[in-house]
Amino acid sequence: MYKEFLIIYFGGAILTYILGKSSRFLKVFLTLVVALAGFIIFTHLYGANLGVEIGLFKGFNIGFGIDHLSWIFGEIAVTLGLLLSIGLFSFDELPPTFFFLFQIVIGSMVLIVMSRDLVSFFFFWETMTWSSFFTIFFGEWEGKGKAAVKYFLWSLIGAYSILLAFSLLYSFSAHSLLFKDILLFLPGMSTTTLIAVFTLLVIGFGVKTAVMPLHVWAPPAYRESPHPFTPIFSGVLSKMGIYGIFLSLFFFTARFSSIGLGYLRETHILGYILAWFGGATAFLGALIAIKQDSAKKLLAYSSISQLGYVIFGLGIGTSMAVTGALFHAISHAIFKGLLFLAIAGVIKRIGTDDLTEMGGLIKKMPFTFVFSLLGILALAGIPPTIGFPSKWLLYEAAIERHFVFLAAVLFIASTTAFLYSYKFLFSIFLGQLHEEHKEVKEAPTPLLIGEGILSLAIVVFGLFPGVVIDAVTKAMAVYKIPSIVAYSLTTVTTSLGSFNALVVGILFLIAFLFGFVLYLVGGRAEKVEHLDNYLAGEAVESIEMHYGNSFYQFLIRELSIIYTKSADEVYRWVIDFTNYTSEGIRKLFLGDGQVYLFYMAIFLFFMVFIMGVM
Amino acid sequence: MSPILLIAVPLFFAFSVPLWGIISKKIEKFIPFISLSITTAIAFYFVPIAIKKPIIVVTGGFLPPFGINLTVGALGIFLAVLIQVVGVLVSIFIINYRNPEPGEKYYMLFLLLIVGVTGMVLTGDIFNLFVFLEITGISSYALTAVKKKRGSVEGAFKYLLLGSLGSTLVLLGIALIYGSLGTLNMADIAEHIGHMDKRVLLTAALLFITGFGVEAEIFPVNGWVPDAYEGAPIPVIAIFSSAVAKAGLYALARILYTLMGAPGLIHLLLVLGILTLLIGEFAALRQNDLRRLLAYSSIGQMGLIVLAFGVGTLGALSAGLFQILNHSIGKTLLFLGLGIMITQSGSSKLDALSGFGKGMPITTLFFTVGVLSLMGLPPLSGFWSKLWIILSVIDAKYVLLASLIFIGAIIEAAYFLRVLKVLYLGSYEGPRPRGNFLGGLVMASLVVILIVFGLYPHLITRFLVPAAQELISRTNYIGNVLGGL
Repeated sequence: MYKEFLIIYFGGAILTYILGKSSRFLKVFLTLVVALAGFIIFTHLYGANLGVEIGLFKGFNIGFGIDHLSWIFGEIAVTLGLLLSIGLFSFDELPPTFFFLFQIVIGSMVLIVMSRDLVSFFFFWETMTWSSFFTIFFGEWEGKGKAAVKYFLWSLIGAYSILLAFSLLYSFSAHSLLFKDILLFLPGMSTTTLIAVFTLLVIGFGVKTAVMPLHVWAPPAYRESPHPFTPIFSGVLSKMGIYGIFLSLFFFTARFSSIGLGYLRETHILGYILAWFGGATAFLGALIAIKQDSAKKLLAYSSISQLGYVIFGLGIGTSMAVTGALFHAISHAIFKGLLFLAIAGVIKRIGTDDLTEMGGLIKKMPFTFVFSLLGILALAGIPPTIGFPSKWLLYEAAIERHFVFLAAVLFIASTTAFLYSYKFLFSIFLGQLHEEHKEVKEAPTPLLIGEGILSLAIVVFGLFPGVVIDAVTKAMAVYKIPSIVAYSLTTVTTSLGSFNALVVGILFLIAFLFGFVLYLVGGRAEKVEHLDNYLAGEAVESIEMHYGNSFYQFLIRELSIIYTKSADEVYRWVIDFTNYTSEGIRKLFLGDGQVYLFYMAIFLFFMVFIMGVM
Repeated sequence: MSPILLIAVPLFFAFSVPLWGIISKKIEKFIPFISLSITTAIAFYFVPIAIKKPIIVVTGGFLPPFGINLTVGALGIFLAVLIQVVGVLVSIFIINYRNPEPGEKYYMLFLLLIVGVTGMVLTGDIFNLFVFLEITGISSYALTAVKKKRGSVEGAFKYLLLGSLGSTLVLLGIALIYGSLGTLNMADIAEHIGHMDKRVLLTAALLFITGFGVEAEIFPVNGWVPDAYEGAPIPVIAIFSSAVAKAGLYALARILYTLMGAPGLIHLLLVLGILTLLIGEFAALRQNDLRRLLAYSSIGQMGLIVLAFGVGTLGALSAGLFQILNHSIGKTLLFLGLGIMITQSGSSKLDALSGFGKGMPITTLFFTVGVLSLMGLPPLSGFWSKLWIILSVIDAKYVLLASLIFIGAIIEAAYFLRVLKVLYLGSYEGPRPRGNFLGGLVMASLVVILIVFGLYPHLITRFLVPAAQELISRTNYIGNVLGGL
């Protein structure tokens, strides 16, 4: 069954590359056909419990299969892939190579989740990495080269961490690469090995998820990647990291069953540490997002922050936390996919992602505004959107185990999320319309289709969270995580409480209607110039007023340590050291013949000396 | 048919180059291609035979140590095929590449180089090994200097200094063994090695490591590499990196494993390998001249292979052989691609190649495939060998060593990505380039090899495992050879 996807995505990619040169329409159309075929076939695999094993070469047996968990992550990939390939119709100026890479990225992600052995997992993981790396080369802006290289180097650090962990597992599992065999040998591994495996895996997958401090590649890569591709980065590629972290927690180390380090209120110490990394990421990511003036970077930091919640949930590891984490991973894919699509439409029209150069676009792009609003509501976790139940579950999970500080950190992060969400929405759509944007049109329709469908999902899943929780519960059952979350289509009940999303939704709707009626019947409004509004009628010749200017200056001043110090500085030091070493070593090869002969003589002498000692 | 043809045919063509030149100067440049396509066919013919049982050839009338004495087993034939395939592809490439004048010397030396290298991997006699090493060496020195530029002569001189001292050390090692055991046949030595004095044996081993280390580009005796690579013609460098270095390492591995039965000294290769790897990669990091950069990268890759040979398990040796294949194919691809680009840019400086992704899209695409394969990315062949090496190294419990390999690999990625960035994102200024059809064809075939073995690794691993087996199962080797005499 994995062969279908190999043929569809990889065959399709090659076909698109060859035929794409002839016509602009054809290459997008082929991409859409491939994405649609992949979507239909993959969606039909729901509930399937397939598995095949293939002998590759001496001692290398590989396997493919699918379960409820991998279906969820694969479905995220194929769905966003499909919606984006519709959107690509408005980006048909990109060369065929981009469309080739696009399909390779989606295909390799589908095959990652279907891999049931170490080698094919790593094979497709690396395929995903290089193909997404090359897409950044097709970005529009100057910094793309640097961002791409940074992304790839970080990904390699991650990939090699994963490979090291995988090789350790391989060496302990009687040379079997299959996941199911490895599980049998886990109890026999020493604590040190398992801790090493766990740490390496979390570092490896954490790079893709952009958990701090491994996140430094993400903001530039997200910003510089081609605008219609960024939703894949934030929506799906990062989810592969989440998928990997889930596996490292609940599969590769079997919920720490053999690591005897002790538990803190039923959460394993290592999980607890991971949860703190998640919490810190959520908190710091949100704070740094406030300061960003680049819309894409703002969303990137927001993405980092939101995934911190997911890491937190997985780290806590109780069944409520994991339900919340997986739910939030799904929500995040939907709303961040939506927001990056929306910003792609805006950039397409005005050519910049600088928030200070935008404003007042609501009149020009009403649909984009409405969709972005829904996305932002979900991001901030406001009912009746999908963002509410997932965050609700995560908070409950923290409270349930009395992790007070962690809960507090998450609450602050969430409040901060309101700030940057508002900055994003206001800077782009509200306020003063710039002179040069008077003629701007609505975002292209293909993008709006994708945004519309995702908006619909945000509301539908927000009103009926039971659908998502059902899928998540089944996924957890595969990895033997019991579910204590009771749910029906519209209600979610935990040990701490329950809420009915439909009722909450209707209440919110009534409140909204009430406000709307007030707005309609309320006092007469007089249309004034924006500047009059800001300056209370005082006559100033020309002044640039923008919501994003000096945004939360006091916060940035008080917390300057966060904004001036960056993880990049530490890495800068490593890079400088490496370059310095490199210069030094290069000098070894600048000698003349006599020097090299001298090396040889010393070498021989040294070896004979060692031999004499032995 | 006898495997001796693998040596005799190119030898004949090499010395007949001047004669062909009398008929027509235009024929000359086809001679290497004609000769090597014949030997390639012969080499492939012997693959199934040699895999089953080593082929023993003793040229009539001459008793060892004189005459040519071949032992063609799974390992020998694997390397011979690899050398012939790379050789024939490079010989197609040189047909319309701007070659140094006078042509006849160049083509003759080119063929002699292939003869020397092929002889090194096929011979079953330790003195023959030395003779072929000398043939390889002398033709290498001459080929490095063939451009008659100052840099080329300087590189050749450095190579000559280290290379000749290296082969002297090898000869000393051979003398030590001959003095103790009174035989030069490899299998015979392997059988009686137990009778040798341990100290003499170890001294010989050290001499071999140093001596062959020069060709195998092992640190610290690889000082000649960057200068020679900078000075020699591009097709010759491709052979240096893909065949000469590999043959040097083969000879070392054959002696240490099959002849000496892998003494504890073998772990010295682990240290030398990782040192070579790290030093090569670090030296390449800040390099702006692509010839030198690829030279350092070649050193780094050789370090990885030496390291795999130092681990010494069957898996590691098979993986090391796989890496030999991938590095040969990948580096040849890179050097030939660089050669085509240099004809356009006139310089191998990175700045001069800026934006070639737009100017020469196909050449750059093939170049990129080579880079990705060397970096070990799927679905290319290099992925499997690097993965296999890592798995074997960790399987042998060298976890720290694996981490150091990763550091080397990340640095390697850093400089290769820098190159790709300049190639693709730089701005292209220059005239519309002339196509090089033959060059493109050669590069395309190398790319196909990398992709096919990347998608179907079992096609090649079938041959690698018996080859590695031959290296370490000494009793089989001794029995097969001595029984066959």
